[in-house]
Amino acid sequence: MFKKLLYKTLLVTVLAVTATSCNKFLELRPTDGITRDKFWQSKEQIQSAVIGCYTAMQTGGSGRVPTPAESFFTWGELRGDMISPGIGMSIDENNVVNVAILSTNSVTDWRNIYRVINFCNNVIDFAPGVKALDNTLTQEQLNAYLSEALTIRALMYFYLVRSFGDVPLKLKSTSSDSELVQLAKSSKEEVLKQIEADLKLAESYSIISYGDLISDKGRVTRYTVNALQADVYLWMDNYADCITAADKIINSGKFALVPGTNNNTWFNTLYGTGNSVEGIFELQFDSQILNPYFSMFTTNRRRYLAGPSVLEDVFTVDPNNEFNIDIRGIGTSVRPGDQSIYKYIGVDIASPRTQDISYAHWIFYRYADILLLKAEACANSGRGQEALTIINQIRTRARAIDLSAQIVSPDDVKGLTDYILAERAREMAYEGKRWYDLLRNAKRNNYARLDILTQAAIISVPGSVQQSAVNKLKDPNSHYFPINQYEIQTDPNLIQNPFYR
Amino acid sequence: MPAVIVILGILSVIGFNSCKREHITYSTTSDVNMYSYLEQNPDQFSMFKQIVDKAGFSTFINTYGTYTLFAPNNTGVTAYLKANGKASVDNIDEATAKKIVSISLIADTINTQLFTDGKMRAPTTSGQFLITGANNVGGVSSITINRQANLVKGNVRLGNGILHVIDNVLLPAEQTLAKMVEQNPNYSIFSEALKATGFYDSLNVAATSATNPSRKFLTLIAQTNAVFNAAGIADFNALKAKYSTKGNPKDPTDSLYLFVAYRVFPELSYLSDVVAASSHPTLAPLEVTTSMLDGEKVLLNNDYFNGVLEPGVSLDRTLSDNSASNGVLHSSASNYKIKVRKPTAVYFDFGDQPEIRRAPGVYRGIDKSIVFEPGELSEVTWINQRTSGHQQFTYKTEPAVPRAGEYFYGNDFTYWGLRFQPDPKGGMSQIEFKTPLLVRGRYKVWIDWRRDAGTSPIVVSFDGQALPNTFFVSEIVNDNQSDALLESKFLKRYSESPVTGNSNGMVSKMVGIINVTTTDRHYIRFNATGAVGKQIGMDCVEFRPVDMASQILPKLYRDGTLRY
Repeated sequence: MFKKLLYKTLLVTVLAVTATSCNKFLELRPTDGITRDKFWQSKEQIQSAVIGCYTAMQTGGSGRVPTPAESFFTWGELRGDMISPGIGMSIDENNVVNVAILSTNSVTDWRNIYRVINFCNNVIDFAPGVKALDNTLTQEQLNAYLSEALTIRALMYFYLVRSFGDVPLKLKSTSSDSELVQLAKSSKEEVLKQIEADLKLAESYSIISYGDLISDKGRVTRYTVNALQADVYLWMDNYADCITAADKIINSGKFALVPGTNNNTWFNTLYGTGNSVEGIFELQFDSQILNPYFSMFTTNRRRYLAGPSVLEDVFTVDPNNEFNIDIRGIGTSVRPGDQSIYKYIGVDIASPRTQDISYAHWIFYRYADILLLKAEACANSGRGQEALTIINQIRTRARAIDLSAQIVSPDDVKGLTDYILAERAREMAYEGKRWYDLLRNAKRNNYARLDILTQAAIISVPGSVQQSAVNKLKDPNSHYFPINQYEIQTDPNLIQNPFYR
Repeated sequence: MPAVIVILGILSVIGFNSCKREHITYSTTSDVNMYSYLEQNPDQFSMFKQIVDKAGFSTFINTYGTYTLFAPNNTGVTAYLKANGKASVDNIDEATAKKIVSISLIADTINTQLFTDGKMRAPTTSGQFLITGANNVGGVSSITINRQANLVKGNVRLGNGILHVIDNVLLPAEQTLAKMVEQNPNYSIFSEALKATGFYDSLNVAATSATNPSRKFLTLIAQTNAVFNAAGIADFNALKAKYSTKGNPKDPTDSLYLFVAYRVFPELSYLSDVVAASSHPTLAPLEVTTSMLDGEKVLLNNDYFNGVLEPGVSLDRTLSDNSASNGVLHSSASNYKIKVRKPTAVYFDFGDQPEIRRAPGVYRGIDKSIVFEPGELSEVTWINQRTSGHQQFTYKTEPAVPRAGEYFYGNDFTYWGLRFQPDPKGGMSQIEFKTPLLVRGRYKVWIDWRRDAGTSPIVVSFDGQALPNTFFVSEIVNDNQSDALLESKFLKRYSESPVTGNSNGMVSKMVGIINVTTTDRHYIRFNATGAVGKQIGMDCVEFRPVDMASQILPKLYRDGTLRY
């Protein structure tokens, strides 16, 4: 009897122990995710982390903060002279157009840009450690991944330094609460120096091709690095290095202008389908990640329209022959009927996109852009004839009409600058470049061409605030955004930019 | 004994805890009101606080409400004292202190984003409007307030509004417009003209003592002697000889009187307000001045008249936007006067809208069709009854070979919504167009469209006044009837459509005679009252002066020409 009780007790105890032994109730790991020390084990995981850097540019983090893909457009175009407000434009955006920006303006929220930077920092910090764990990871492979992260980080800082001037330079990842740091701002020069160094390293690490078209256009290759270098060096007025970088792309023989003989095919190849022979680096939206542009440019609450005089003054119109058109203007940049900005919302000239196929790529760099960057560097370093040759190459492809041609002598730097700017307005219309083009040319030689910015404001700022806007723009500090109120409140080390104190 | 210990213990527990107070925040914000803010920051505002005390405004600006205060910091007050030769704030008398505070206070919350190139949206408590702007000194731009102070720090949010810190004291304008012109030797000719015509006295009344509430603030467009000289007018006598038709400039029908009257707007319009509205009334009876912004230039009377540009005059920005105690003084860069115009026929194509004209190859192009959502046309507004397609305004043009039976003027026409009819069936129920410039006079209004199914009357209003006749879309123009007979029925054949055996598809109906009182752009509105069959091809409106030789000729041709 007693023995039986003993067995019973034993049985119950054993059952109890075995049944619960698998239950790790003392384990603190999340069950729905993966933590860092379990990640960074294999090269596949590095790859996913790298792809995450690209995805972070397409999608936002939390809340209603604009996604990077949206900021690339708003930062580049709102203060330019080629858009006008649509019915759905927000008050904050309107205030950017009117040069009445406060630090509470949501357009200047950079959180999602720094989110991308943190993703890149993660790769840069932790990917090298994988080498010890995964024997199949070669040094070349690891370097290639690092070049992607370095380049994307440089690109983000390049956007920040052009938009805000001095910004905090965060080069280490934030992967735990103990690593939260409150950084002060670094000067523009320091940021640019970091970008330059990162790109040099990335160039030596990078590869030329991934073996498939989507990756070659959508991920960082050596040519992406060169394209960014050309842009960065030109921003720094380092013309020789800009030309060197541009020439690396031009001489590679891998890129060409998409022929403009048929404007419908041209539009469909370059913008409708994307990843054309002209594309160097394009943000690859697809059916899984739609771009934010549909609601920005279509629908009856669209936020932006083409400026009222863009077709007439920028692309020009032949009054005698309505079929003699610059292929970059009517029906491509601007749909003339309702003044829609059409680049992102058309499959081809005749067929607009619907919401479900709104995945036009965001083109960071394409061949025509690089050619014109080189032209600008040439014009400023005594090689005016080369600049004119490039402009004509671009114009011939685009079947630009005679009315928009300018007669400029090769040694007339001011004339060449104006011509290149006008040509860039036509070629890169609504590709998020305009404000940076204006500012880069205006600030050169200690703001010798401030008139470029004030002229742009006269075109785009409404009459009621035009004079104020013009006078504000005469102060170089106003050319950079304020640091958003949210950042100022959370980081006591940040000092507001001078114009907004 | 143990009981005593227990009681002591209980007492001590109570005793120790009784001194503890719980800290509960009862207020939702720790923001102070304006006066307290001045008190809390004596390093910045101790002097302005003294001025406020002296003016007796301290309680006023510390009560809850919605205010905007421009508070000069101590540096600013010191600069003001120095400029006025005063040793300390005590030397400011009470009246001046009151003036200073009342011009610095607005009963509205206005943050810097709402600052424009002109006046603020609400007046200060002194009655005068403050103007804002921006200027640039040595590469540093700042926002200016009333051209007297720069903004140091904007948008300090307080319990009862917004405080802006400025670097100088604001003072109300002391001079009237008349005095301002008189004391500037560059305006001597214009000043004499003001005195000769009697406008000197009416422009010499400060807003605070004006009896006519609609004439408190005026806008005066003066003209310098140099501008007069450039127009060949050497002095006042030459001006009088040139314009004074009756010999007595005080006579309201004298041309010199009208010359001056035309330069006074009975409204407060800084340059940004001048360009914000397209036309402004003047003191010359029924004469308006039109205005527009061209690049940076403010142009007056720069009008398209029957398609031809009549160049206007520009205002001199550096000499304009001067605040007076009863308005604002501008200066024109060249001489101008009232344009004498005879009423002329205007043929207004509904599709002739700036947005449509701007789109290359669309306006009167071949086989175009464009739809506009509400709000996309600046000079057309409409009321819709339903969402989406029903509310669109469509502009259409004919193919290379126009469709049979369609003889639209300029080969283009418009559709108003999916149906131009009111609820419950939906569509667009009302549409209003801004007309081209119409010269003062009497006109017959003819509506031109392509006949279709529908018998409900459509009401036409001009400037909000309904016209006596209505029209319905299936009106018949019987081609067997003569022009005279048709005209007696308010109908006519307006297009190049050949005369047919029965009814003409292109109908024109006279809906009434209008009296255009001011040479300006006006509004014409259409209201649907019942169902129509489908979309109606609406072509144009003809405004023909009543004394025109013919109400029928010229006719409106497909190629956009007028032919007799």
